[in-house]
Amino acid sequence: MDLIEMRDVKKHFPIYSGILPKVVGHIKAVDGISLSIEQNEVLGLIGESGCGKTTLGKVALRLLDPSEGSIFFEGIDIAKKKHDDLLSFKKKTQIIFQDAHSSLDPRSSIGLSVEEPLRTHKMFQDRAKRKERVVELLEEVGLESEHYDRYPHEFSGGQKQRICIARALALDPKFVVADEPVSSLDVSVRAQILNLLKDLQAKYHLSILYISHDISGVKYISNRVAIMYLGKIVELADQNEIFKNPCHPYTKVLLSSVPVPDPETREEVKLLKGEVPSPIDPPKACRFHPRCDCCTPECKEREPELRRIKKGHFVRCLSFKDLG
Amino acid sequence: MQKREILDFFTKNRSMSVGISILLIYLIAAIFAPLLSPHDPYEQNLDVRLSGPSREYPFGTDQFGRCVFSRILYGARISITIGIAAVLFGLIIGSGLGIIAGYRGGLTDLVLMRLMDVLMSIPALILALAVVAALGRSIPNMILAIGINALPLFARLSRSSVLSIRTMEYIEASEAIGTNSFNIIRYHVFKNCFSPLLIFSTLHTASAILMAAALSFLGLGVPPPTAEWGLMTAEARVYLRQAPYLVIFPSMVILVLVLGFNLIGDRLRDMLDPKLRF
Repeated sequence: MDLIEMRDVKKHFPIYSGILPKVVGHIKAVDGISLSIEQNEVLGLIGESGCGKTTLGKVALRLLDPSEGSIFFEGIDIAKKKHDDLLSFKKKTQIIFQDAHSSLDPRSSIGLSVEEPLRTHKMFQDRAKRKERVVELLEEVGLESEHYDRYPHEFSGGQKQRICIARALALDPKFVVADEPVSSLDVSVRAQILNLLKDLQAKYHLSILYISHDISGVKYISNRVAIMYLGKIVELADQNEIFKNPCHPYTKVLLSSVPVPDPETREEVKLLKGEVPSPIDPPKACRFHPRCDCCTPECKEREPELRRIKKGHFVRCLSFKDLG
Repeated sequence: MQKREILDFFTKNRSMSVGISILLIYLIAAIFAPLLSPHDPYEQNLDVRLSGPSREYPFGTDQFGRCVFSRILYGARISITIGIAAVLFGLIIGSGLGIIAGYRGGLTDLVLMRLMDVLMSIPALILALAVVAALGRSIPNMILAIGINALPLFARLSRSSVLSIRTMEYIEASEAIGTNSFNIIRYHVFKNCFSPLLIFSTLHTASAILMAAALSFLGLGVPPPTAEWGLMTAEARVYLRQAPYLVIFPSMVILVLVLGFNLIGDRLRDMLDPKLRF
């Protein structure tokens, strides 16, 4: 069963202008996305900067209120619930941010930071037991109990991200949004954190929405992969399928940009022309058509649907048939 | 380890040590005034009126023959109380309003900050005069009058720090956990905007003491014959030619205390700024 299901979720940020602020337009960060994540599944979400992937992650956790659409978590629509009624939902969901440094309060000790979820949800009321649990969590993510009283600036980037993971796991969540958790880390540390996330995912049967623009990281950790372009999903398939058989022209370009560690197999790197269009006024019809190699006249007139082309493989492209 | 650090700190921070020493001397003077003063500050001895500093009367006597030194010691109680209480009033209520305005934003922010702007647009001394004139001359009213002046300053300062803290990811992380606004403010916002508030408080205590003296000087502070520095200066004004020490000593005492607070505040600013931390 799906743990979380988003149906036609939209998030439009109004743009104000003038002396007496007036809405002059909307940034369509997320523009009609339907996605579902099963229990114990890692869904990788890949997209360029500014395509709305972080916004989608925040909307999924109701850190931002969706403009439209519904979000079902364990069968209950949480999209329009009041914030006061979301406590039990927030207990089961968590987020790991890209920048571990700024997501830890510089004036709170590590123990205090990791303890916060327990305090908020009134678990382990007994101080000694609470501390025991925090130490247990710290050890789980590869830190030591003596780190309990230290402050964030005393840790390295990787350690800080470990602390954030410990905090996210404190409440035994079911669903975690990992918003580029390794992007700000050194390459050597990146692998460690990815491995840690993967191990913890398997151990706790977590469902993870893994947001990233690092394709190899997504390939390593995800079961399924969604490709996002300008607020919409353009392709969605199982991990094996999408890397073996990418169908959308955008996916193809993206995947060809990943360096291959073998000088013999020199594939031609496809380059995209132009810049990402503005999400304020996205191109009509197919959003990718101004940059697409195989754009047909039809692409400029009709907006493609997310079509199913195989079991579990969906593509939003009109010219896909022709590509064979 | 801890003790050593504190000791190190004082040898490295001359201005801080001087400031703290000044403050300590004043506090001791205020607390032990009855033990330290050679005379009763209110006892008139008309035989020796307007006599200069002597062994018997270290700072001389005023027009009623009261011991100026004793009066200054007792005056420390009032000045320090008013200074600290007024700043505490401003700190607690002003920064409370500022934090709420900054954290809630929107209409709350608009209404609260415009109110603060109204307070700010009235010159400090005139506002204080108005409050004292309306409520009457007494120490609590003076504290209120000076405290109200401090409100918008504290509100603005705390609001601006809250605005920058609000956008930090650790606030968002707390929201994701489900922590309510009150606890987010308590555990994260307050802790992180405290150091500028602390610095400003010490610096502003000096201005509060000055303003208390000014109010008394203008005749709207504590009523005579209370021993208060501003009032003493005001009353001695008439005798400036015959007995200049009557003005000089209380003014000096105010000056040194203000200096002490400023030294502490300045150094605190350097210390609490993480970029300048040694």
